[in-house]
Amino acid sequence: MLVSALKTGVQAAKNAAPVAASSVGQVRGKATQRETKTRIEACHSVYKITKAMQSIANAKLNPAIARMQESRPMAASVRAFIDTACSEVQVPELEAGASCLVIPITSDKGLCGALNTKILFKTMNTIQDLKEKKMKIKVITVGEKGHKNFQSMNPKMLVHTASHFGKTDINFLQASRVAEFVTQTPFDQATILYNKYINRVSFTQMAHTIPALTFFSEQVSKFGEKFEFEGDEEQILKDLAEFQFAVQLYGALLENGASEQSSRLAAMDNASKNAASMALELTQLFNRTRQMQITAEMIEISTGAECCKAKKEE
Amino acid sequence: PGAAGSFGVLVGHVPVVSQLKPGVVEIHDGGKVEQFFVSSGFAFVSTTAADICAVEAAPVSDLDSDTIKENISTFTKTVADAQNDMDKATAQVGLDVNQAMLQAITGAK
Repeated sequence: MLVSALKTGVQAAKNAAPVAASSVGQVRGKATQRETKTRIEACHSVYKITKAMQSIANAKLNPAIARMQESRPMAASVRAFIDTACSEVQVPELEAGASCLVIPITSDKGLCGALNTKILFKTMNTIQDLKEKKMKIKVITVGEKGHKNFQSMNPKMLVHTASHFGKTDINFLQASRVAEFVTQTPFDQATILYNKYINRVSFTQMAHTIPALTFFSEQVSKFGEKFEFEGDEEQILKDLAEFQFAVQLYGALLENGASEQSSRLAAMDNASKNAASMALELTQLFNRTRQMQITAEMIEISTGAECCKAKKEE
Repeated sequence: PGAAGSFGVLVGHVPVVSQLKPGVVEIHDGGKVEQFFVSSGFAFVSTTAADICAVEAAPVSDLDSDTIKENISTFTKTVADAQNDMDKATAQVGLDVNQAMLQAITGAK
C-alpha cells in the first residue's frame, strides 16, 4: 500500500508537463500553473511516504542489529568447532558435474537501495565461476526479490524459493524450516550469499561455502581424534550437519535483515531529501511564474491606461 | 543434559561433543548458580571453552507450571490419538520437552 502510493506520487510528479524555464517573454497559463501545483503536491506526498519509511526502518534497525549480534556467538562457536575438527581434513575438491546449490538471500520488499542488486550481482559471478568449473548449478532463492529476478533471467536454474516469512522477527524455528526445505535438494556443495552488516552506513556481500551434509558423517574418524563423543558418533554428526546448516542460514538471514533495514534507511533518507528539494524548486518556479503573470497583467493595464490617456489628449 | 546422560564440565575437561536432550543447564560462577532450560542442541567442549548451542533456551524462573501441565495433558492426548508416525513423533517431542520442563521446576524448588 505504501509502495503503490509512492509510485502514484512519483508518476504525478513526472507526468506533468515539462517546465518552461525562460524568464522573459514566455508566460505560463493558468493550466500549466495548475500542473505545477499538482507536481508540488506530489512531491510533498512522496516526501511524507519516504520519511515514514525511513523512520520505520530506523525503528526496526536497532532491534535487528541486537538480534544479529546476539546470534553471532552461536554461529561462531559452531563454525569454530567445525574448523578445529576439520583443520586436518581437506574438504574434497569437487569434480566436474558435482551439484552445487546457490542460495542468495534477498529481501521481500523493495525500496531498500542497492541491497538486492549487489547480492544478485555476486550470485551471478559465483554461478559464472561454478559454470567454468563445469558444475551443475541449482538455485534456491530466499526472498521475493531474488525469486523475481531469477524467474525472469534464469528460470531453468531456479529450483525452489522461500519467501514471505520475515514478517515477524526471524527466529531459529523459521531458519530451521528453511534449512529443512533447502536440504531436501541434495547437494555436494552449498553456497549461501548474503549481505553482512558492518555498520549503519555499510554492508558487504559474503559467500559462505558449506560442504555436503554427508561430509560430516564421512569424517567420523577425524572428528573422533580431536573430540570425545557422548553417545553415538554417527548419529551426532548427522544431526550436527543439519544443525550447523540451520545455524549458518540463521546467521545469514539475521545479517541480511539488519543490512536491509540500514540500506532502506539510507535510501529513504536520500529520497526524502530529493523530494524536499524538488518541492522547493517547483514552489519557487510557481511563485516566480505567478509574479510574472501579475507583472504582465499590470503592464497590459498600464499600457491600456497610457493609450486611453494619449487618446484623450488628442 | 547430554543425550547419553548428564555431565559436568570443569576447567581442563577433555574436548567433548554432545547432543543435548531437553533439560537444565547449570552455570556455576563462584557461589552463584544460574539455571537455564534448553530444549535441545549441542554442547562443544574444547580446551579453551565450553559452548552450549541450544535451539531454544530460557531461564528456569521463566517457566510457568500451569501452562506446562496443560501442555503435558494436550500432548499426551495427541500422542495417543496420532494417526501416523510423523504426528506421533512430533507430539512425543512436545511431551518430552514439557515433562522435562516440569521436572526442572519441581526439581529446582
